[in-house]
Amino acid sequence: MKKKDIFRKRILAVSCGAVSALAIGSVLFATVGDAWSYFTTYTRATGTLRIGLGSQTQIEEDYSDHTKHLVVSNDSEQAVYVRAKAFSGSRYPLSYSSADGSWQEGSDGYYYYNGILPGTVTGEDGTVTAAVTSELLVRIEFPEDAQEGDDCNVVVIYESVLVQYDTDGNALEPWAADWSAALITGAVKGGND
Amino acid sequence: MKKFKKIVSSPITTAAAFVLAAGLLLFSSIGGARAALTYFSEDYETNIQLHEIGITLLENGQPVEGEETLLKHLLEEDEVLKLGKAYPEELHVYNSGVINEYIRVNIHKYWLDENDEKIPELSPGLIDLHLVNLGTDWLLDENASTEERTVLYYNKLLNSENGTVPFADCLTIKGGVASKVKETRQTSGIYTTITTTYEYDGARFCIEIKADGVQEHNAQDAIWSSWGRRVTVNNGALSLD
Amino acid sequence: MKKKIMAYALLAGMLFSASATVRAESHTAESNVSFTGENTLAADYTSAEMNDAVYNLQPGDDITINLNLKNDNPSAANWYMTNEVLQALEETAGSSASGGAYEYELIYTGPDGSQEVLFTSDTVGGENSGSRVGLKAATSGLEDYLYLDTIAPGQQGLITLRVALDGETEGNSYQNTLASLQMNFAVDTTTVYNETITEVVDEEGNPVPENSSSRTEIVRTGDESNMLPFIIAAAVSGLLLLLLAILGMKERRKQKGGMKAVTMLMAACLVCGMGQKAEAAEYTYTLRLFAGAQGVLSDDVIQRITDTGAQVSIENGEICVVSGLHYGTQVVFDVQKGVTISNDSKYYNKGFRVSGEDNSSSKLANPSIKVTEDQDYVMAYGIQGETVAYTVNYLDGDGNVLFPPATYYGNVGDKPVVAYQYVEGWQPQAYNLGKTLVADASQNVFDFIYTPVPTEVTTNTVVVPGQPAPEGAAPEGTVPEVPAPPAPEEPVPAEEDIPDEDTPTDDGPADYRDLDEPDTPTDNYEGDRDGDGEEGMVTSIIEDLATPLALLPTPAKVGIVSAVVLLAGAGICLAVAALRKGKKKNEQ
Repeated sequence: MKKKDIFRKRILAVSCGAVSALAIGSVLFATVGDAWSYFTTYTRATGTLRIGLGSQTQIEEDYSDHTKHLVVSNDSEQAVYVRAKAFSGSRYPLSYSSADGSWQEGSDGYYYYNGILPGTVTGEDGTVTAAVTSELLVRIEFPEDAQEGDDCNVVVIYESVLVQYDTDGNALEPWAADWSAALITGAVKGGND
Repeated sequence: MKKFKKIVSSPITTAAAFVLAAGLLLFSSIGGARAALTYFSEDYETNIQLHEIGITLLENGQPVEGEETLLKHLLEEDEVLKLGKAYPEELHVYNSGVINEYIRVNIHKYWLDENDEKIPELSPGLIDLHLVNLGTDWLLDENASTEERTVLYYNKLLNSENGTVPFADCLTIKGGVASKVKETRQTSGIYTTITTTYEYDGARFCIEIKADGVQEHNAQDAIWSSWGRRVTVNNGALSLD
Repeated sequence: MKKKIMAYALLAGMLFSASATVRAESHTAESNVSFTGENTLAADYTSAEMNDAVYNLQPGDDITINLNLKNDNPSAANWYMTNEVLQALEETAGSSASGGAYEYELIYTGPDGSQEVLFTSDTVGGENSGSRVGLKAATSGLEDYLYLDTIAPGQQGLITLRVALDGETEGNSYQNTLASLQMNFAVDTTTVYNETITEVVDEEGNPVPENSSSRTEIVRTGDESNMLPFIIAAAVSGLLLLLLAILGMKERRKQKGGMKAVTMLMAACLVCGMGQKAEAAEYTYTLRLFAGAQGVLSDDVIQRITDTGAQVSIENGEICVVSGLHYGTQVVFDVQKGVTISNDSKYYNKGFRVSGEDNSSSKLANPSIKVTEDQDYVMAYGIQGETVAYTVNYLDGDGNVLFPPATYYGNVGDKPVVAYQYVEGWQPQAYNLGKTLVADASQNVFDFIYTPVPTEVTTNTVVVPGQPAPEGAAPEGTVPEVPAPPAPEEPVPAEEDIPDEDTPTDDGPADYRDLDEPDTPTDNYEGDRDGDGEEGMVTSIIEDLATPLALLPTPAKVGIVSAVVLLAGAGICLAVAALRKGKKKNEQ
C-alpha cells in the first residue's frame, strides 16, 4: 500500500510537470488576437481659444436743472458701441444734446456714441481703468401747467454691443452694427420737478 | 510481476510514457512519405503584400494632430479675438499612407468652461467654421450633421501622397456671443442701475476635427462596416445613399 | 444543458456555413505547366519572376490563380502537386497581425471537367488558437506531394487556387504584412495508360456519393514499403502509453480531491494538443448605432435611457437613432440581445465601437454610455474561434439574485464588456465590467454586486402641541421589487458620510471596471465558489507563468519549446537508464 502511494505520488509529480510544460507550450502558441475590420485610419486634432468679453457696462447719471447727464462706462475687456434712448410721456417732451457732438441721432431714434468705447486697460501697477463716454444730456421739457411735486418718470434705455468687424477685420460704424446682439437694457428712473 | 510493477511505478517511466505517447501519436497522424518523383516543375510562388494606410490633417498647410494643436496661430501675439472677423483657417486632408483611400471629416464645435467641462447651453452655431467646396468636392451628410457636429465626405478617391481641396477656409466667432447676458439690478435712492453680464465671458470655444480614412478596395463594404454609413462608390466617385 | 447544446450546435452551424463576400476586388493570374515530349516539366514562368511579383491586396480582396497542367508527352502522365504557405501574413517580422480570417480553396478540374476539391474553407485563421497561424492552417495537409490525376497525351487539367482576405476581421494590424504561397508540380510517367476507376458501392450495390468537400488524401508516391501497420502500431502504442500516464494522475486525483483542477487543465491541454477546432434651448445630443454589414438591429438594443424626453427610432434594422439626449444622460445599449446575426453567418457579435475607429477588443465602447457629444457607433464582428460561454450575474452583497443572470458566448481571449441592469433602489459597483474570457466557462463570470443607493435622510421635526416630540422620523424610501434594499437603521444627517465600507463612494458606480486587473475589487460576495479555490490557484499559477511567456517573440518561444523537448528527451534517457539499472540490480 505504501509502495503504491509512492508510485502514485511520483506519477502525479511527473504528470504535473508534463501537464504544465504542455500548458505552457499551448499558451505560447496560442494566437488569440484582436479582430479588426478593413484598413481604416483616423487623425484627430482639437483647439480652443478663450473669449474675453469682460463682464459689464454701466450707466451713471446725474440729474440737475431738468436735465439728465448720462455717462456710460465700459468695464469689459472688449471694446463696445453704445447707444441710448430716453422715454417719457408725451406730456414731457425730451431733447438730446452733447457737449462735444460725440452722440449722434440715428434713424431709429437712438443716440449713438459715435466712437468705439475701448475695453479696460490694466496699468503696470495693476490698476484697471475703464473708458467712459462723454456726457449725453437729456433735457426734460416740463409743460407750463406743471405743478411742483408732479411725478415725472423718464426711463433711459441704453444698449451696448461688442464692436463688430467686417470679415477683413475693420470695425463697423456703430449704427451699421448688428444690435440684435446688444446687451439688454440699462434703465434709470428719475426726474421730478 | 513485482519487477514490472517497480518499473511502472518509477516516475521516470511515467514521464517517458508521456513523451513517447506524444511522439508515437504524432507519427501516427502523419501519413505521408517523401516523394520519389521523376520530373519536377519550377516553384510557383505567389506573394501577397498589404500596405499601410495613413491620414494627416493640415491646418493652413501645417500638419496637426492631438489636443490643443489647432488654432495655435489664429491670433497674433497679444491680439484680442475680434468678433465677426474671419480668421484664415484653411483645412485639408492629406493621404500620408501608401494605399489610396476615401475620406470623411467630422467637425465638432462646442464651448468649454474653465474646468474643461462642456457648456451645452452655449450655442455651437456662433462658432462659424466656413465650409467650402461643398457639393463639388465635399458632400455634407445631413443625416449625421447637427448644430454641434458636421460630417463631410470627400467625393473622390484620395491617392497616396495627395491632398484634398480645403473643406474650410476661415473661422469667425459671431457677434451673437454677446447676446446672452445675465441682468442684475441695483437701486440707489431713486436710481436703479441695471448691470448686464456676458454669459460667454471666459468661455472657450473648441474646434475638434477627426478625419477618417478607409481603404480603396471594397470601399463600399469597408465604409459600411467601419463607418456604418451606406455609400455608393462607382469608378472612384463616392456618393451618399 | 439542452440550451447549451443547442447554442453550440448553432455556433457549429455558423462555422461551417458559407457566406459570400460581395463586391470584392479580385485579382487573377494564369500560367501553364506542361509535360513536354522531351520529358521535362516546362512552365511559362520562372521562379525568379514569380518571386518578384507581388500582389498588393487589401482586406476583402481575393486572388485566383489558374494553372493549366498540359500533357504534351506521348505518354500518359501522373501529376502530383504540393501547396505550401511559406510565410503567413501574421508571421511578418515586427507585425502584431492576428485574428484575421481567410477563404482558401484549392480545386483540381480534370480534362473531362470533373472537379475535385482538394481543400476548401471560408474560416481559415480567424480567432483560432492553433499553432499554424493564418493561411498556414489551410495547407497543413497539402505540403506533401498529393496525386492529382493521370492525364492522357494531349489533354490538360486545371488547378485553381483562390485566396480571399476577410474584410470584416482583417484590419489595421495587417498593414505592412507579407505572405508567400508556393505550389510545385511533379510528374511520373506510366507506360500504359490505364485508368482505374474506383466505384464505391453499398452492400446492395448502389453507388455511394463521394464527399466532395473532403480533403484529398496524401498519396504515397515513391516509397514502396507499406507503412500502414507501423502507423497503426504507433497509434495504438501511443494511446496505451498515454493511458498509462493518465492512470497515474487519476490515482492521485482519487487520493486528493483538490487535484480536480489539474485534471481539468490536463484535459484542456490534451484538447489543445490533439488538434485545434476550426472556429438651443439646451443643446441635445444624438447617438446613432449602425448595424454594419453583418447584423440587424431591433428595439431590444436599447436597454435603458435615463432621459425620459429622448426619442428612439430604428431605421430598417440598420440604424438606431437616439435623439433629444441631454448632456450627461446615460444610455445603455444591449447589442447581444438587440443585434441579430443570421444563423448561416460565420460572424459573431463582439460589441460596438466608435465609428471609424479600430475594431480591436480593447477599443470596444462601453455598453453604458454617458452622453457628452453627438456620436456614431458601429457594430464590431469577429469570426468564431474557440467559443466559450460567459455569465453575467446581478447580485446583492449577500449573493441574492436581483435580476436573472444572462449567458452569452464569445471567443477565448476576447474581452467583452457587459453592462449592468437597472434595479430600482440599488446601484452596481460599476456600470460596465470587462474581463478576458478563458477556456473554462466557470471562470467567465461577471458579477455585478449591487448595494443600496445611499439615501440622504433629512429629519424635520414638527412638534405638535400636546404630543411628545418623536425621537426619530422613519425614512420613506422607495421599495425595490426584489429584494428590498435594507433601510438605514437610523436617520443620518444629510451632511454626514454614510460609514459603510461596501457602499460605493459618493461618486456613485465607476463607469468601467476591468476584472482582469489583479487589484480590482470584483465584489464583496464570496459565496459558493470557495470550493474551487485550489483549482483557481493552480490555474492562476499556470496563467501567471504562461501569460508573460505568450508575449515573448516567436524565436524565444521556439527556444523555450526546444528546451522543453530537450528536457523530455533527457527524461526518456533517464527512464531507459533507470530501466537498465533496475534490470541489472534484479539480475545481481
